Amino acid sequence: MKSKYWLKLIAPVLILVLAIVLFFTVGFNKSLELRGYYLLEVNIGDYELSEALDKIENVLNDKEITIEEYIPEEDDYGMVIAIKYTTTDSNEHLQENIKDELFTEFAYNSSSLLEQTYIKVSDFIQPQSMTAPISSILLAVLIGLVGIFVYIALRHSTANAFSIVLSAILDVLLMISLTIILRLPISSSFALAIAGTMVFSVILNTLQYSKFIENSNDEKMLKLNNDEIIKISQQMFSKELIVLIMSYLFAVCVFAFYNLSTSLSLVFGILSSVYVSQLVTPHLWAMAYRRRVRTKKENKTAVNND
Amino acid sequence: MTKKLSILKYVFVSIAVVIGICLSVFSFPIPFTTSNFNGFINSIPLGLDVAGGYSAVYNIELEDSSNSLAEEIDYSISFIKDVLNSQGYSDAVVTKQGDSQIRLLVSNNNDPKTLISTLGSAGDIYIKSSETTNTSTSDIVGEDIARVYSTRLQTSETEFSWGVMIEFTDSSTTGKSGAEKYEDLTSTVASSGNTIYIYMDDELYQSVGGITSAQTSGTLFLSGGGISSQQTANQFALRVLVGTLETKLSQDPNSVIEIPSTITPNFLMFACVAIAILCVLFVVLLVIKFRDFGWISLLSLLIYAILVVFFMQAVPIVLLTLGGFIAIAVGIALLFFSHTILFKNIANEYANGKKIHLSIKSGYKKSVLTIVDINVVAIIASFVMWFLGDSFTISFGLILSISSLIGLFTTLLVTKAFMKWYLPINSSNAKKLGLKRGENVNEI
Repeated sequence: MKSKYWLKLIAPVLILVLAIVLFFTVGFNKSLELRGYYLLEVNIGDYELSEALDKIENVLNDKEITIEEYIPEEDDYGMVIAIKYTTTDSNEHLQENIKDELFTEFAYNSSSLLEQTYIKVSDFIQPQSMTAPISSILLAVLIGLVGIFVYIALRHSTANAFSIVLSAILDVLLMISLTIILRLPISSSFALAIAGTMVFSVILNTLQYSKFIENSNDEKMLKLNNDEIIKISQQMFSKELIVLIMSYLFAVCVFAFYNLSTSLSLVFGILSSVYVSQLVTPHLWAMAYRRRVRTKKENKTAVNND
Repeated sequence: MTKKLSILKYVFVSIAVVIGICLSVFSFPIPFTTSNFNGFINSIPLGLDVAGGYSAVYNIELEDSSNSLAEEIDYSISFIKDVLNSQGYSDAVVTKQGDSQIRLLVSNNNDPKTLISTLGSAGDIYIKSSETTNTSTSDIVGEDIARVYSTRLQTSETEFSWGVMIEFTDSSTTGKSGAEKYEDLTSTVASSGNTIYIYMDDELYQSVGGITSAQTSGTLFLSGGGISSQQTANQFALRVLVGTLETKLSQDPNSVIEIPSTITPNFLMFACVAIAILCVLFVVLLVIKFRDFGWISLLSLLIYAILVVFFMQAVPIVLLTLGGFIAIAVGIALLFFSHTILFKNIANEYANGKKIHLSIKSGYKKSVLTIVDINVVAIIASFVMWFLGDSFTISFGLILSISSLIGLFTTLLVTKAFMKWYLPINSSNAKKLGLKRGENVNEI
């Protein structure tokens, strides 16, 4: 079992090492809000949305700028298209040129005071800081895990608590690693993927542990060794596990329409939680449980010797 | 308990559930009043990503030109974020735009247009001993104020009033602390005039009379005048808070734009349908596997849903964002698992030869700790996420804490009571509960 245990650890270790290398070389793939952007707002007046978009696209394409995101908005004077874009062009008059060309394209009078025909190009909108949200969520995860450790240690044993916390940390790290390796763009909602993975992991591992403990204390299974208890527990838990995974994946897929990258990160979190709970957690439990049995045997031998 | 009584109890609970669903979903005018009942679901505040909101741009001007503009803007952004967070706009986004502007995105709750204009109209605050626009060194200014918040205090034996509490600083590196200046100021007015005056730039905003002795508490409670409700108290607190900034915010003309949900336009409907499908799937699975127990779990699920919706609108800091929807889905999955564990243990007990009522009793006993375990770990994790997390995880943590607590209550108390009521209706037909004896096992 020991050799298999190490074998099962190789995959996560490889993923972690690769992610660490990528993190220190290319870092995270940041989304638009974390890179900063320019915001162009055009009150489209009587134009159709698609027609207005085509006009804007023509002007921006001439300047080799591609639209990263567009949002139809509304103000007191009607429909407004908000376009987010980035550019590497350092020409300080670029934004003014874009504005002038758009006035021509839309046949708006730039000196008109009519609010219905405005075109605005913002200064560069600075990227949102990820340091504060990530550090606060990591602190929350850390304190949450300490709380869970204390609870499980009081309810079951320190070894179980240690295993559950270790599994949760491994799951969160694997999720972050897979996000880095697959170059998924991260946004400020990435904190949600960390929180979701942690919660899923602790629930899954607590359920798994309850099954191990229940079966190891079952009178019918007293003669079984750890491998057999793990096998039976996993068989008993398999249907629930499938339903649990399916329900979480369903919930995550629903939200993929909003933020695909965060949803994919959550899916990776779920998959890594399942991997760890099925292949790593049982061995952590077996290590802790076997030690306890051995101590009992040693005590018995000691009593007999006396 | 007789069969008739059990059926009566189920009928009573079903009627209560129907009333609960109606109260959750429908809005209607309250009879004999001019008020409307808004329905629990309609009263849940929605976040920026779910329901959209407003964006506005502010120009920032330095009051002291020797300060660094970049540093002051960074400080102002973090200050405004904290202020908005304390005002319930936990998902507000404040970013720097260009060199001297900030862009604010705020959700569509609590009158955002007033919030936007209040932020742009806040001036420097001065608390003076006389009604004059001339400033003096004895005036209390923004840097002398440590904390400002709206609160409700008892103002007479029978009356409570909304107002704004201003707490002055205890120490200062430059001279007298805010508390000391306030003591001096009140000592001055106690001997003549008995009134202090609060100015925003040159505008007299409020005066507080009846000061007959020096105030040593270091706090000032303002109520009455323009402050008559929680909303006006919040607005005034916000103006005072922004007035303590060392920069001046002015709203960029025509910059206020209504922005749509950052999720797909029909997200709300989409998410509600998805959650409903999830619930139906769970109930169908339980009904297929455990027959009547499945229907019991449906009744529990409905009570759970009504309670979750009720608390989501009743707890003032809840803001339903994308994270909140994920938390609702996780909460439902937890409830489903708690029920599955419970029914499966009952089925195991029955398979081992016990009668139905004994199987329920011992199955419940066996399940309690596991159900408590999974819910408690979820509560610990989500509570910490709410308390320490960022805007995205606050909603997730808070709603998961609420749903886990209600899930625990529903499974351990409500479902238990329903199973107890079920026994007089059927205590012998195991098929109706999807229970089977194990191979070669006889009834004990």
